[in-house]
Amino acid sequence: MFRNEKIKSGNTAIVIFHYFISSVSFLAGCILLLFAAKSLGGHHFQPKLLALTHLFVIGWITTIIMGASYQLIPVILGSQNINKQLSWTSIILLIAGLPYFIIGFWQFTFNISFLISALLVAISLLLYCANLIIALKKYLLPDTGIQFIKTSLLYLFCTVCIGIILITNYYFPFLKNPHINTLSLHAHLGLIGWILLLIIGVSSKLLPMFLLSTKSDTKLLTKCYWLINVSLLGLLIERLFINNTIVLYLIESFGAAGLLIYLKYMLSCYKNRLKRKLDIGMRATEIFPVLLISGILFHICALFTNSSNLNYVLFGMVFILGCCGAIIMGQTLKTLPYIIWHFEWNNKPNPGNRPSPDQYYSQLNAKITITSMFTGILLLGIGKVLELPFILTTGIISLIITAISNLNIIVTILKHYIRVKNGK
Amino acid sequence: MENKDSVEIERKVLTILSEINDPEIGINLIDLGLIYTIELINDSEIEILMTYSSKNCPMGEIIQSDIKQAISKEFPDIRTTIKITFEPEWTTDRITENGRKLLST
Repeated sequence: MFRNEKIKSGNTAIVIFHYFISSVSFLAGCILLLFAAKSLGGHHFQPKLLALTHLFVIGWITTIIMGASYQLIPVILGSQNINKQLSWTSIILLIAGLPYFIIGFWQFTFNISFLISALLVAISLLLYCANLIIALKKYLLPDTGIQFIKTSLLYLFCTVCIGIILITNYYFPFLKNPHINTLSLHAHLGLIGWILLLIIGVSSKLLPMFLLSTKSDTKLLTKCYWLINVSLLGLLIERLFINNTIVLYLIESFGAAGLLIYLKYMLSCYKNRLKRKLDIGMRATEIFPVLLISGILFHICALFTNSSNLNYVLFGMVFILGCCGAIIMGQTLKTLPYIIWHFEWNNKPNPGNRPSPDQYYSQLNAKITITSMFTGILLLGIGKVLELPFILTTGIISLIITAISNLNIIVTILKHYIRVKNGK
Repeated sequence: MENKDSVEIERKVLTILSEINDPEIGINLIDLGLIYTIELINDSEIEILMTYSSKNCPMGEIIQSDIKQAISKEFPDIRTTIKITFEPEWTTDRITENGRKLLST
């Protein structure tokens, strides 16, 4: 007989705090995007785009991943082994370091304040890595989903280390390798190695569960895992030692094949699902494959065409705002209300009219968030391709609406959580 | 041999469980296939052997609390014991035809 170890709700405060910081960062990023609209038309390597990329990737995406993992990892592992003190220290360091880190990039001023803020951000991310690695090291069962998560943490560690090297190089130039190659490596390891591998790892566990899929082909996940990792390791070698375009194409094709195999896995989960009527969170996630394919196509175009700047910016928009946005917004609506619902109703008798988790936020608010996000991304793409500033600005305004609407959902749930906590 | 009353009580418990929904999936515990056995012991205790849809189901405690609350409302003098097992492990094959219909609407 199985004794179910209690998963305590002790992480709820830290989880919702991460969601809040993440949604504030997203709003800040969208507002800054308005002031950087002109930069979207230029080269992809420039101060304002670097600032925005770091704000979106660290402030928005990584922060929400951190928060969600503090809730999900104990559930997946079946025991509460996330260190709360480490979690709080990590997020406080991030809050302390991130604003000036972004300002430094925006103004392209690498003074001592920038160095300190960059170190605070780096320490915060490394503490997060350590916290999760300690929690996961006890999990020894063969599980591809967990393997993805463990590997993604390794890539986060490498991304942070390369970031530190790049910043140090500004103060004390020592890199013999072209700076842009190391930057490209930093970006690939961060976006694909850290974010995408983690998304694949977590979604490979949650997707069949949320959709009630009758079959999910885990062999596809294993193939995907190896193809993406071979591609990333190949890229590491190519960028540092080879610098050959043909080798780069070959390496990138492995990664693209891995992602396409993952999409096949997703498709099989959707096709074989028993749950036909999907909630708004899962419907938003459905857009992810379309955006990922678009992202891959833009990346291929960037490699093979003369308009590489256009395609790299489009790839960045589609991948960071589109793919990650679809997953983040969708899964926020799916998971956060449940976390608070669980906190409220665990060990409490059912009064008979117990609300469902999706009653914790306005459905209209959720529809506005999702619709304005996809409208915004579409308009941004059209505005960028056709070089129409008005369309581009309209797209950014649409994203600001998304960010405000999303923040409203988070604040509504946060206020409810505070009420429940004070009443307990 | 089970007496008529105990069969009647077990049937009644089955009905009660078919009115309790899994909070995440949104269909009742019977159609979801989470309940393995219901047994009345010594006319004073209902023993339910059940599973969860995943091993570390965070909703487990709430489901157990809902079951105990609903049964004690109907049978205040009978104690409810819930045993959780993962042998056999729950799969979507355990969802009844009615459950599949409920999920598809």
